[in-house]
Amino acid sequence: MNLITKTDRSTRIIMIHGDIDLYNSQELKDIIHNLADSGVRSLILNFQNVSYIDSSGIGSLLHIMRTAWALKIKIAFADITKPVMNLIELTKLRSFFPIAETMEDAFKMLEITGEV
Amino acid sequence: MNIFTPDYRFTYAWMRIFLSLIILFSAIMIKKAVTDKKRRGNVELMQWIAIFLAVKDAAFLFLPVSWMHAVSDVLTVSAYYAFTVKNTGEKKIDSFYYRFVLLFYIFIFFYFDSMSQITGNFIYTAFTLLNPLLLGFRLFSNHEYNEPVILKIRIPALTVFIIYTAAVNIFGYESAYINIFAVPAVYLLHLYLLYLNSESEYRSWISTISSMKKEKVSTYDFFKNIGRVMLEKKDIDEINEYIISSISEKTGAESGAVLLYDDYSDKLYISASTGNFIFPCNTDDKIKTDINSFSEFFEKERCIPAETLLDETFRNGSPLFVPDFFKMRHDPLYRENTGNNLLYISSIIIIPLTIEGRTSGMICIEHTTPGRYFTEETFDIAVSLSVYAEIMIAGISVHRELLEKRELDRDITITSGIQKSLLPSRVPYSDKYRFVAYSEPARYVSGDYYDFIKLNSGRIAFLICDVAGKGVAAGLVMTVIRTIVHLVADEDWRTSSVMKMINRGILDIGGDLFATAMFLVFDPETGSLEYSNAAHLPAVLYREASREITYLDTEGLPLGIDRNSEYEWSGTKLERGDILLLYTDGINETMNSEKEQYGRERLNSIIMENCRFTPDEISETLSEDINSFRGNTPPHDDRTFLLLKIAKENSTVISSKTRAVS
Repeated sequence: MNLITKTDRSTRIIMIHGDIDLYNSQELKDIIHNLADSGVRSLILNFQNVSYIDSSGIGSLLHIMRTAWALKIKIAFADITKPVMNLIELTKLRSFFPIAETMEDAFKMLEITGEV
Repeated sequence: MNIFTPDYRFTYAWMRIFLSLIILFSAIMIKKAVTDKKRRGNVELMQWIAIFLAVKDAAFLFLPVSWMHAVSDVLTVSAYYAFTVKNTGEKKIDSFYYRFVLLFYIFIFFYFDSMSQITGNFIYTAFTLLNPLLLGFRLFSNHEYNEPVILKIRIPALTVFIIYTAAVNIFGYESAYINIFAVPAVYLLHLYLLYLNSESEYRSWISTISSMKKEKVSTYDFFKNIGRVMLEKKDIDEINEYIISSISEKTGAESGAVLLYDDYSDKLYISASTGNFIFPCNTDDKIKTDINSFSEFFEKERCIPAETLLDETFRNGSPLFVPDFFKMRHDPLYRENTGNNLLYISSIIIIPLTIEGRTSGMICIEHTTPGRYFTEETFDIAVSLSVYAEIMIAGISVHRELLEKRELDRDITITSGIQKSLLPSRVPYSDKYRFVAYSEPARYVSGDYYDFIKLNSGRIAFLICDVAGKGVAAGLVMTVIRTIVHLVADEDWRTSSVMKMINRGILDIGGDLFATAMFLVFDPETGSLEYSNAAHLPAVLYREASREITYLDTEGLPLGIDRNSEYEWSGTKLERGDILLLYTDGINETMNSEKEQYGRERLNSIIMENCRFTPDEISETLSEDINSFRGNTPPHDDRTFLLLKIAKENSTVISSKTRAVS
């Protein structure tokens, strides 16, 4: 798994490349901890290049989301691929996760959410 | 004329030839040992002087005229002059001196004889005395640099040449005093010069050897210490501190820093620094002039501002060596640090660090005192030390990964241990029904858990669950689930209420832990089944009557996600011949070498095709089919399923073989 970071309109965008599994779930969780120190207030995770996620990966996403809530950081998951969406749906977390269809939707979502 | 006659002139000539040969011999010997190009040139010059003097004196035996000595003396001084020019680092030829010498020769050959003796002698004396004085002027004047040999030779050389020339002018070449005292002094001077060259060669050898020894020891120390630092599990910053202080020490830099690139903020940070490290930037005037604000600013600021020299060099990716900052003052990246204030930098070396094929940081060393500059040599040393630093930092990250992997493996072992102790050893059955449990942990991952509880009413509560996560916390989740299920199952709770209690119970355990689970209660007497699902895979129910597959599912989030999660319950009635299958995602996600998944359809069709067999037989067929599908591909997750079959008639649920065993 590789993480590529960009910043657009004061939002941190992290492009995740590769599989998300037990062995790199910690690295994924570190995203939010690093963000906490940087002062950025909104985050979009892009899953365009993720074709596999396991339950530990879902756990990491939950952790990121919870931490984001606690830190009052706005967050959105964008461009989720079919296999990843399948697992999210299987675990019935679709409505629980802040899922946006496209990057534009993600930006809109962050604007509408306002202060969380 | 017999050159062997007892004429003193010839005796002296023989003596000088002998002395010249000694010098020639010494020069040849020393030349062999000398490797330094400049010193070799000096020795060679001395060799030619010796040859020339020997030839001159040999010629004198056949043609005994005094002017021969005069010409050769001037030439010897000229040779010393040339030697001086070479060893003071000045490249341009001193044309005045050579014109002067040329004039002397023209005078000797063309005009000496035609002049009156007094005038001729006066001009001759003036020339010969002026010659060593010009040499002296050259020896003592300021130059770009002076080789140590110049500093040592200049006083003896000047003394010898002046006294010798004066003596020759007073006593003449034929004098015994001259030949016994003055001439050997000049030859001694030549020998001394040879000695100085061989001595400095020897000294440079000694210092090279000792610096090689030192280098060897320090490289060894470098790695030994880094090994120790790594074992102490020190912070990367502490390791970098060690790296930068070693590099600064070896390059003599006044200050330096290791900078690391941070992906998240897309910026460079100072990981460790020595001395008063200043990164090139512009600041307000207070920082430039007030020492307290200056130190406070550079101690506090760890982030390298964008569009400054360090940031640009990092993005450029190649090493940068700026010997003299001041020369670059017209470039905006340098301008702010060339002024007469605290931000002044005189010289800088920046080397990007490539770790695992990616530019991940930089080493930067600098001089901040006017007049102190790095040389090409220092730059080379810094580059080679940076390679060591790269190796070390890469080694640390590999080491860290191994440690993390080991920790992960240990966590998994803990979970597997807890899981093993929790799984039930017996499976409930009677004549009317039979459960079969199959659980095959993957090598690394574990988290599947199932349980059966016989309730007092005769009903059977059972659950299957898949904990996401690892380590003590995951084991704890299983334990809490088991405890709650065992405690409350016997009460008249709805399955959905039990789910809610489990959810609350595991909620506070850990940030990324959650579990999917299905909790069911089966009444063997009536065949009724109540179930509640927390986002686990829906149970597969094969209906014997309709020969169809249906799914049992209810709404609800996984356990341990939301405190206020609501769970639902539902019920159905199991009829004779019905088969219920619960499984974890390790089953349907089993992959073969083509990365295809086993899938739910194949699972369903195995159940359909084998519905008439006993549950043990179905279970065996299913597990064999999964394993043959997988082939040699290692399993990536635990595979667990529970199978419940209701007897068609009393005899069909249990094969005779299994009955005998149980």
